[in-house]
Amino acid sequence: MKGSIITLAFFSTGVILAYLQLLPSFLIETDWSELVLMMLMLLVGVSLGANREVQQIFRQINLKIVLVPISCIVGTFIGVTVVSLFINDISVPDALAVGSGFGYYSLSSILITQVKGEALGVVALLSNIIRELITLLLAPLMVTYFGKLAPITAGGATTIDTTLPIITRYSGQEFIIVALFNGIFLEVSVPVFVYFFIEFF
Amino acid sequence: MFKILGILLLGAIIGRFLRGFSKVQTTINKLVMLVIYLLLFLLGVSIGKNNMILNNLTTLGVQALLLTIGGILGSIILAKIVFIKYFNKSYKDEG
Repeated sequence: MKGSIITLAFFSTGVILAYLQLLPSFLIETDWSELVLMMLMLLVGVSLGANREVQQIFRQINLKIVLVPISCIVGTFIGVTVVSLFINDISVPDALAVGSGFGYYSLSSILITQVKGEALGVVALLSNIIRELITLLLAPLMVTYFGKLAPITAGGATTIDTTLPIITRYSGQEFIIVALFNGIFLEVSVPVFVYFFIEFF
Repeated sequence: MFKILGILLLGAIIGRFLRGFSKVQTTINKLVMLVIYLLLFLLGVSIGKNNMILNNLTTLGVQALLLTIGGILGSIILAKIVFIKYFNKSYKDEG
């Protein structure tokens, strides 16, 4: 929660400073986002590679655990497709690209902005931040009505960091490995699916 | 896509060799957060200089909310099916 608020603050500061034209021109005229994105992906890779627990988690994988991120992927795709049929401005592949963020807002919104422009990039950013917030706020209700896997599939890629504590609290300790595996699996899936939907349609 | 995944893989290989150092994980995680803040700031800049986006922020927000509700509903409905079919029994037996 705190993380989302800080990121939103940085985002808003960028919007306001650019709107008021208070920024030096090298920030406005050059697009630095791709370079910074490369840095982010490199660091995420280093973090996964340096993490001893990742290996242990992958040793405990069975087919059952793989069904959890797959539920998130398939469920998200069905859900956003249905919704996009009621929104004129958003085509089915655009909706699928936004959904493919699975809560990983920084990465998905930058990738989408680069290819599809700022409008869909903003939708991706907001949608994926909202996904994290809804999961944090409604995790207890989800467990009650949809079972202990529900907040894990709702949290998507965020279940490896920001939503992990709340999932541990409401789904139980025995679901930590499921949540971590789900988060890692989806984190790597985000660029694959986002690129697939923005490049090929 | 392959550039991004290649860089991710390169990072993972570097990370594998850095595993021996004790503070790698905390340092990297701090750096990741800093870079994410920087990215979001830059995204903010690209939106702040674009009047078309600013004028339509409410519409875009509503679209984002609707898409998210759809995505989450789809996910948790499948989660319920998978939980009942594959997890419920085994986890009860173990616990």
